[in-house]
Amino acid sequence: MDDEHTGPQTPAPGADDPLLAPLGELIRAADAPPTVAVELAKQSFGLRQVDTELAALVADSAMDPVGTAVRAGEQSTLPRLLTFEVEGPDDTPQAVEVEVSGSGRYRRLLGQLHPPGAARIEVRQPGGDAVDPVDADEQGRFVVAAVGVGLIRLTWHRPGRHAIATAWFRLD
Amino acid sequence: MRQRHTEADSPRPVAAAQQDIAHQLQLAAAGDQVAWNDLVDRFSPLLWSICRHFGLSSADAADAFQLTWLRLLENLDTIQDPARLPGWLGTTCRRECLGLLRPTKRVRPTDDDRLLDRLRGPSSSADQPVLIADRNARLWREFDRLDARCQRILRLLLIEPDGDRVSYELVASALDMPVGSLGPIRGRCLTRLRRLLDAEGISDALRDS
Repeated sequence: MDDEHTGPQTPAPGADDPLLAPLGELIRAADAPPTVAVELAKQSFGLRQVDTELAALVADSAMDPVGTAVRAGEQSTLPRLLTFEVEGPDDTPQAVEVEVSGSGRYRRLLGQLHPPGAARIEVRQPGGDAVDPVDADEQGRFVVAAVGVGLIRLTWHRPGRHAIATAWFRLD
Repeated sequence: MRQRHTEADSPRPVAAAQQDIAHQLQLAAAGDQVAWNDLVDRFSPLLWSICRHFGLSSADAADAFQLTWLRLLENLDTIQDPARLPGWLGTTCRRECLGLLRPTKRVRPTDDDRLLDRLRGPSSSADQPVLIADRNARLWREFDRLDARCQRILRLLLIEPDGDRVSYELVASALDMPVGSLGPIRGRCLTRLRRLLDAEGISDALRDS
Protein backbone atom coordinates (compact mmCIF):
# COMPACT_ATOMS: atom_id res chain seq x y z
CA MET A 1 0.00 0.00 0.00
CA ASP A 2 2.78 2.32 0.97
CA ASP A 3 4.52 2.00 -2.28
CA GLU A 4 1.62 2.07 -4.64
CA HIS A 5 3.16 5.18 -6.14
CA THR A 6 6.42 3.45 -6.78
CA GLY A 7 7.37 2.50 -10.25
CA PRO A 8 7.58 4.11 -13.61
CA GLN A 9 4.28 5.98 -13.48
CA THR A 10 5.60 8.49 -15.87
CA PRO A 11 7.13 7.26 -19.07
CA ALA A 12 10.63 8.59 -19.43
CA PRO A 13 10.11 11.91 -21.18
CA GLY A 14 10.24 11.54 -24.91
CA ALA A 15 12.16 8.30 -24.69
CA ASP A 16 10.03 5.73 -26.42
CA ASP A 17 7.04 7.72 -27.51
CA PRO A 18 7.23 9.36 -30.94
CA LEU A 19 4.18 11.36 -29.91
CA LEU A 20 5.77 13.39 -27.15
CA ALA A 21 8.29 15.50 -29.01
CA PRO A 22 5.99 16.90 -31.71
CA LEU A 23 3.05 17.30 -29.33
CA GLY A 24 5.27 19.07 -26.80
CA GLU A 25 6.47 21.41 -29.54
CA LEU A 26 2.91 22.22 -30.60
CA ILE A 27 1.85 22.89 -27.03
CA ARG A 28 4.86 25.10 -26.35
CA ALA A 29 4.15 27.06 -29.52
CA ALA A 30 0.50 27.50 -28.55
CA ASP A 31 0.99 28.41 -24.90
CA ALA A 32 4.28 30.31 -24.82
CA PRO A 33 4.30 33.13 -22.30
CA PRO A 34 4.36 36.56 -23.97
CA THR A 35 7.90 37.94 -24.09
CA VAL A 36 6.71 41.18 -22.55
CA ALA A 37 5.34 39.34 -19.50
CA VAL A 38 8.59 37.46 -18.99
CA GLU A 39 10.64 40.64 -19.39
CA LEU A 40 8.44 42.45 -16.89
CA ALA A 41 8.91 39.61 -14.40
CA LYS A 42 12.68 39.97 -14.78
CA GLN A 43 12.56 43.74 -14.43
CA SER A 44 10.42 43.45 -11.32
CA PHE A 45 13.57 42.36 -9.48
CA GLY A 46 14.37 46.07 -9.36
CA LEU A 47 11.21 46.62 -7.32
CA ARG A 48 12.47 44.46 -4.49
CA GLN A 49 12.66 46.24 -1.17
CA VAL A 50 14.84 44.85 1.58
CA ASP A 51 14.61 45.95 5.20
CA THR A 52 10.93 46.52 4.67
CA GLU A 53 8.13 45.03 6.70
CA LEU A 54 5.31 43.48 4.72
CA ALA A 55 1.73 44.50 5.50
CA ALA A 56 -0.69 41.79 4.43
CA LEU A 57 -4.08 42.41 2.87
CA VAL A 58 -6.57 41.76 5.66
CA ALA A 59 -9.75 43.18 4.15
CA ASP A 60 -10.92 44.03 0.63
CA SER A 61 -14.48 45.14 -0.05
CA ALA A 62 -14.19 43.80 -3.61
CA MET A 63 -13.59 40.32 -2.23
CA ASP A 64 -16.01 40.45 0.66
CA PRO A 65 -18.65 37.81 -0.04
CA VAL A 66 -21.11 39.36 2.40
CA GLY A 67 -20.76 42.80 0.85
CA THR A 68 -21.22 41.50 -2.67
CA ALA A 69 -24.25 39.49 -1.67
CA VAL A 70 -25.94 42.39 0.08
CA ARG A 71 -25.02 44.99 -2.47
CA ALA A 72 -25.29 42.94 -5.58
CA GLY A 73 -25.66 45.19 -8.57
CA GLU A 74 -24.42 48.40 -7.03
CA GLN A 75 -21.06 47.00 -6.09
CA SER A 76 -19.21 48.81 -8.83
CA THR A 77 -20.52 52.23 -7.80
CA LEU A 78 -19.13 51.95 -4.27
CA PRO A 79 -15.52 52.86 -3.65
CA ARG A 80 -13.33 49.86 -2.98
CA LEU A 81 -11.80 49.76 0.48
CA LEU A 82 -8.66 47.78 1.25
CA THR A 83 -6.90 47.30 4.56
CA PHE A 84 -3.29 46.15 4.98
CA GLU A 85 -1.82 45.33 8.35
CA VAL A 86 1.39 44.18 9.98
CA GLU A 87 2.13 43.46 13.61
CA GLY A 88 4.47 46.18 14.90
CA PRO A 89 7.58 45.40 16.95
CA ASP A 90 5.89 46.73 20.09
CA ASP A 91 2.62 44.86 19.47
CA THR A 92 1.01 47.93 17.96
CA PRO A 93 -0.45 46.92 14.62
CA GLN A 94 0.64 49.16 11.77
CA ALA A 95 -2.04 49.48 9.16
CA VAL A 96 -3.18 51.44 6.17
CA GLU A 97 -6.71 51.77 4.81
CA VAL A 98 -6.98 52.69 1.17
CA GLU A 99 -10.13 53.88 -0.54
CA VAL A 100 -10.06 53.58 -4.31
CA SER A 101 -12.20 55.78 -6.53
CA GLY A 102 -12.27 57.02 -10.09
CA SER A 103 -12.85 55.46 -13.45
CA GLY A 104 -11.04 55.07 -16.75
CA ARG A 105 -7.34 54.34 -16.66
CA TYR A 106 -6.51 56.22 -13.45
CA ARG A 107 -7.55 55.89 -9.84
CA ARG A 108 -7.50 58.19 -6.86
CA LEU A 109 -6.33 56.74 -3.57
CA LEU A 110 -7.44 58.14 -0.25
CA GLY A 111 -5.37 56.68 2.55
CA GLN A 112 -5.40 56.53 6.32
CA LEU A 113 -2.47 55.26 8.37
CA HIS A 114 -2.90 53.59 11.76
CA PRO A 115 -1.68 54.68 14.17
CA PRO A 116 -2.07 58.21 12.77
CA GLY A 117 1.02 60.24 12.09
CA ALA A 118 3.10 61.89 9.41
CA ALA A 119 4.79 59.65 6.85
CA ARG A 120 6.12 59.63 3.34
CA ILE A 121 4.19 57.37 0.96
CA GLU A 122 5.80 55.77 -2.07
CA VAL A 123 3.86 54.20 -4.94
CA ARG A 124 5.42 51.34 -6.91
CA GLN A 125 4.11 49.70 -10.05
CA PRO A 126 5.80 47.16 -12.30
CA GLY A 127 6.15 48.70 -15.72
CA GLY A 128 3.96 51.67 -14.80
CA ASP A 129 4.70 55.38 -14.95
CA ALA A 130 6.60 56.67 -11.97
CA VAL A 131 4.31 58.26 -9.40
CA ASP A 132 5.69 60.98 -7.14
CA PRO A 133 5.76 60.19 -3.42
CA VAL A 134 3.14 61.95 -1.30
CA ASP A 135 3.11 62.93 2.36
CA ALA A 136 0.63 61.81 4.97
CA ASP A 137 -0.39 64.58 7.36
CA GLU A 138 -0.25 64.47 11.17
CA GLN A 139 -3.53 62.56 11.19
CA GLY A 140 -2.01 59.96 8.89
CA ARG A 141 -4.21 60.93 5.94
CA PHE A 142 -2.89 61.04 2.40
CA VAL A 143 -4.10 61.31 -1.18
CA VAL A 144 -2.57 59.87 -4.33
CA ALA A 145 -4.35 61.92 -6.94
CA ALA A 146 -3.82 59.74 -10.00
CA VAL A 147 -2.33 56.31 -10.37
CA GLY A 148 -2.72 53.96 -13.33
CA VAL A 149 -4.80 50.80 -13.02
CA GLY A 150 -2.74 47.64 -12.63
CA LEU A 151 -0.51 46.09 -10.02
CA ILE A 152 0.63 48.35 -7.23
CA ARG A 153 2.12 48.52 -3.77
CA LEU A 154 2.36 51.39 -1.30
CA THR A 155 5.29 51.86 1.04
CA TRP A 156 5.21 54.20 3.99
CA HIS A 157 8.23 55.61 5.75
CA ARG A 158 8.09 57.05 9.22
CA PRO A 159 11.00 58.66 10.98
CA GLY A 160 12.86 56.27 13.23
CA ARG A 161 11.43 52.98 12.04
CA HIS A 162 11.51 50.44 9.22
CA ALA A 163 9.55 51.21 6.12
CA ILE A 164 6.39 49.16 5.67
CA ALA A 165 5.19 47.96 2.27
CA THR A 166 1.75 46.63 1.44
CA ALA A 167 1.51 43.30 -0.31
CA TRP A 168 1.16 43.76 -4.05
CA PHE A 169 -2.43 44.14 -5.19
CA ARG A 170 -4.32 44.96 -8.35
CA LEU A 171 -6.11 48.24 -8.89
CA ASP A 172 -9.04 47.39 -11.15
CA MET B 1 13.05 1.04 5.82
CA ARG B 2 10.34 2.57 3.79
CA GLN B 3 11.43 4.16 0.62
CA ARG B 4 10.62 7.81 0.35
CA HIS B 5 8.12 8.60 -2.35
CA THR B 6 9.98 11.66 -3.41
CA GLU B 7 12.76 9.42 -4.58
CA ALA B 8 10.72 6.43 -5.61
CA ASP B 9 8.35 7.94 -8.13
CA SER B 10 10.61 10.49 -9.69
CA PRO B 11 10.56 10.20 -13.46
CA ARG B 12 14.30 10.86 -13.37
CA PRO B 13 16.88 11.90 -10.81
CA VAL B 14 16.31 15.53 -10.06
CA ALA B 15 18.59 16.17 -7.12
CA ALA B 16 20.85 18.20 -9.38
CA ALA B 17 17.96 20.25 -10.75
CA GLN B 18 16.71 20.97 -7.26
CA GLN B 19 20.16 22.00 -6.09
CA ASP B 20 20.35 24.33 -9.04
CA ILE B 21 17.08 25.95 -8.10
CA ALA B 22 18.12 26.23 -4.46
CA HIS B 23 21.34 27.88 -5.51
CA GLN B 24 19.61 30.35 -7.79
CA LEU B 25 17.12 31.17 -5.06
CA GLN B 26 19.97 31.85 -2.66
CA LEU B 27 21.76 34.07 -5.14
CA ALA B 28 18.58 35.96 -5.99
CA ALA B 29 17.91 36.55 -2.30
CA ALA B 30 21.42 38.01 -2.09
CA GLY B 31 20.52 40.44 -4.89
CA ASP B 32 21.73 38.62 -7.99
CA GLN B 33 19.64 39.76 -10.96
CA VAL B 34 21.03 37.05 -13.26
CA ALA B 35 19.96 34.29 -10.87
CA TRP B 36 16.50 35.86 -10.70
CA ASN B 37 16.33 35.94 -14.51
CA ASP B 38 17.23 32.25 -14.58
CA LEU B 39 14.39 31.45 -12.18
CA VAL B 40 11.98 33.48 -14.31
CA ASP B 41 13.12 31.70 -17.48
CA ARG B 42 12.91 28.31 -15.78
CA PHE B 43 9.37 28.62 -14.47
CA SER B 44 7.61 31.11 -16.73
CA PRO B 45 6.27 28.65 -19.33
CA LEU B 46 4.64 26.52 -16.65
CA LEU B 47 3.26 29.46 -14.68
CA TRP B 48 1.84 31.05 -17.81
CA SER B 49 0.15 27.79 -18.81
CA ILE B 50 -1.34 27.52 -15.35
CA CYS B 51 -2.81 31.02 -15.64
CA ARG B 52 -4.38 30.07 -18.95
CA HIS B 53 -5.50 26.74 -17.49
CA PHE B 54 -7.70 28.61 -15.04
CA GLY B 55 -9.42 30.32 -17.92
CA LEU B 56 -8.09 33.81 -17.33
CA SER B 57 -8.12 36.30 -20.19
CA SER B 58 -4.73 37.36 -21.52
CA ALA B 59 -4.81 40.53 -19.45
CA ASP B 60 -5.79 38.73 -16.24
CA ALA B 61 -3.31 35.95 -16.92
CA ALA B 62 -0.59 38.57 -17.28
CA ASP B 63 -1.50 40.07 -13.90
CA ALA B 64 -1.76 36.69 -12.11
CA PHE B 65 1.57 35.70 -13.65
CA GLN B 66 3.18 38.96 -12.56
CA LEU B 67 1.68 38.77 -9.07
CA THR B 68 3.14 35.29 -8.64
CA TRP B 69 6.62 36.65 -9.36
CA LEU B 70 6.08 39.67 -7.13
CA ARG B 71 5.01 37.38 -4.27
CA LEU B 72 8.19 35.40 -4.72
CA LEU B 73 10.13 38.63 -4.68
CA GLU B 74 8.57 39.69 -1.39
CA ASN B 75 9.20 36.22 0.08
CA LEU B 76 12.73 35.65 -1.23
CA ASP B 77 14.13 35.90 2.28
CA THR B 78 11.48 33.84 3.98
CA ILE B 79 11.32 30.68 1.87
CA GLN B 80 12.97 28.33 4.33
CA ASP B 81 13.26 25.23 2.21
CA PRO B 82 14.29 25.93 -1.39
CA ALA B 83 13.31 22.37 -2.36
CA ARG B 84 9.72 23.45 -1.87
CA LEU B 85 9.92 26.36 -4.28
CA PRO B 86 8.10 24.54 -7.12
CA GLY B 87 5.19 23.69 -4.85
CA TRP B 88 5.20 27.21 -3.43
CA LEU B 89 5.08 28.74 -6.92
CA GLY B 90 2.25 26.42 -7.98
CA THR B 91 0.17 27.20 -4.90
CA THR B 92 0.81 30.92 -5.18
CA CYS B 93 -0.05 31.00 -8.87
CA ARG B 94 -3.25 29.06 -8.17
CA ARG B 95 -4.25 31.53 -5.46
CA GLU B 96 -3.57 34.57 -7.66
CA CYS B 97 -5.55 33.08 -10.53
CA LEU B 98 -8.54 32.24 -8.34
CA GLY B 99 -8.27 35.69 -6.75
CA LEU B 100 -8.57 37.42 -10.11
CA LEU B 101 -11.39 35.13 -11.22
CA ARG B 102 -13.53 35.74 -8.18
CA PRO B 103 -14.57 39.37 -8.48
CA THR B 104 -15.73 39.14 -12.07
CA LYS B 105 -17.19 35.67 -12.36
CA ARG B 106 -17.57 32.41 -10.55
CA VAL B 107 -15.20 29.57 -11.26
CA ARG B 108 -17.23 27.15 -13.27
CA PRO B 109 -16.00 23.66 -13.93
CA THR B 110 -17.73 23.74 -17.29
CA ASP B 111 -15.56 26.56 -18.55
CA ASP B 112 -13.40 24.05 -20.38
CA ASP B 113 -14.95 24.56 -23.76
CA ARG B 114 -14.84 28.30 -23.62
CA LEU B 115 -11.24 28.14 -22.49
CA LEU B 116 -10.32 25.93 -25.38
CA ASP B 117 -12.08 28.23 -27.80
CA ARG B 118 -10.00 31.05 -26.50
CA LEU B 119 -6.69 29.26 -26.65
CA ARG B 120 -5.56 29.65 -30.17
CA GLY B 121 -3.87 26.85 -32.02
CA PRO B 122 -0.18 27.02 -32.74
CA SER B 123 0.81 29.29 -35.53
CA SER B 124 2.47 27.42 -38.32
CA SER B 125 5.82 28.81 -39.23
CA ALA B 126 6.38 29.56 -42.89
CA ASP B 127 9.67 27.76 -43.31
CA GLN B 128 8.45 24.54 -41.74
CA PRO B 129 8.84 21.64 -44.17
CA VAL B 130 5.48 20.81 -45.64
CA LEU B 131 5.39 17.21 -44.45
CA ILE B 132 6.06 18.09 -40.85
CA ALA B 133 3.62 20.98 -40.98
CA ASP B 134 0.97 18.63 -42.34
CA ARG B 135 1.75 15.98 -39.74
CA ASN B 136 1.58 18.57 -36.98
CA ALA B 137 -1.69 19.94 -38.24
CA ARG B 138 -3.20 16.46 -38.14
CA LEU B 139 -1.71 15.76 -34.71
CA TRP B 140 -3.13 19.03 -33.40
CA ARG B 141 -6.53 18.25 -34.90
CA GLU B 142 -6.67 14.92 -33.10
CA PHE B 143 -5.42 16.53 -29.90
CA ASP B 144 -8.31 18.94 -30.21
CA ARG B 145 -10.70 15.95 -30.29
CA LEU B 146 -9.51 14.71 -26.90
CA ASP B 147 -11.82 15.40 -23.99
CA ALA B 148 -11.24 18.82 -22.45
CA ARG B 149 -9.81 17.43 -19.22
CA CYS B 150 -7.12 15.51 -21.04
CA GLN B 151 -6.26 18.47 -23.22
CA ARG B 152 -5.93 20.74 -20.25
CA ILE B 153 -3.74 18.39 -18.25
CA LEU B 154 -1.50 17.49 -21.18
CA ARG B 155 -1.01 21.17 -21.92
CA LEU B 156 0.50 21.47 -18.45
CA LEU B 157 2.43 18.22 -18.31
CA LEU B 158 4.02 18.40 -21.75
CA ILE B 159 4.97 22.06 -21.68
CA GLU B 160 8.49 21.22 -20.56
CA PRO B 161 10.55 19.14 -22.99
CA ASP B 162 12.00 17.12 -20.10
CA GLY B 163 9.18 17.29 -17.61
CA ASP B 164 10.73 16.27 -14.32
CA ARG B 165 9.75 15.98 -10.69
CA VAL B 166 10.13 19.73 -10.26
CA SER B 167 7.54 20.56 -12.90
CA TYR B 168 5.20 17.82 -11.64
CA GLU B 169 5.33 19.25 -8.13
CA LEU B 170 4.53 22.69 -9.43
CA VAL B 171 1.59 21.48 -11.51
CA ALA B 172 0.28 19.29 -8.67
CA SER B 173 0.22 22.28 -6.29
CA ALA B 174 -1.39 24.51 -8.88
CA LEU B 175 -4.16 21.98 -9.51
CA ASP B 176 -4.37 20.98 -5.85
CA MET B 177 -3.91 17.33 -6.82
CA PRO B 178 -1.55 14.68 -5.45
CA VAL B 179 1.65 14.65 -7.44
CA GLY B 180 1.42 10.86 -7.75
CA SER B 181 -1.86 11.13 -9.67
CA LEU B 182 -0.42 13.15 -12.54
CA GLY B 183 1.68 10.43 -14.13
CA PRO B 184 -1.22 7.97 -14.47
CA ILE B 185 -3.54 10.70 -15.80
CA ARG B 186 -0.94 11.70 -18.34
CA GLY B 187 -0.52 8.06 -19.35
CA ARG B 188 -4.26 7.56 -19.82
CA CYS B 189 -4.65 10.75 -21.83
CA LEU B 190 -1.75 9.87 -24.10
CA THR B 191 -3.24 6.42 -24.66
CA ARG B 192 -6.51 8.02 -25.71
CA LEU B 193 -4.71 10.33 -28.07
CA ARG B 194 -2.75 7.43 -29.52
CA ARG B 195 -6.02 5.61 -30.21
CA LEU B 196 -7.39 8.63 -32.05
CA LEU B 197 -4.21 8.86 -34.09
CA ASP B 198 -4.25 5.13 -34.87
CA ALA B 199 -7.84 5.35 -36.03
CA GLU B 200 -6.87 8.14 -38.42
CA GLY B 201 -3.70 6.37 -39.56
CA ILE B 202 -1.55 9.22 -38.35
CA SER B 203 0.68 7.20 -36.03
CA ASP B 204 2.89 6.00 -38.86
CA ALA B 205 3.60 9.53 -39.96
CA LEU B 206 4.83 10.31 -36.47
CA ARG B 207 7.05 7.27 -36.34
CA ASP B 208 8.67 8.02 -39.67
CA SER B 209 9.68 11.53 -38.81
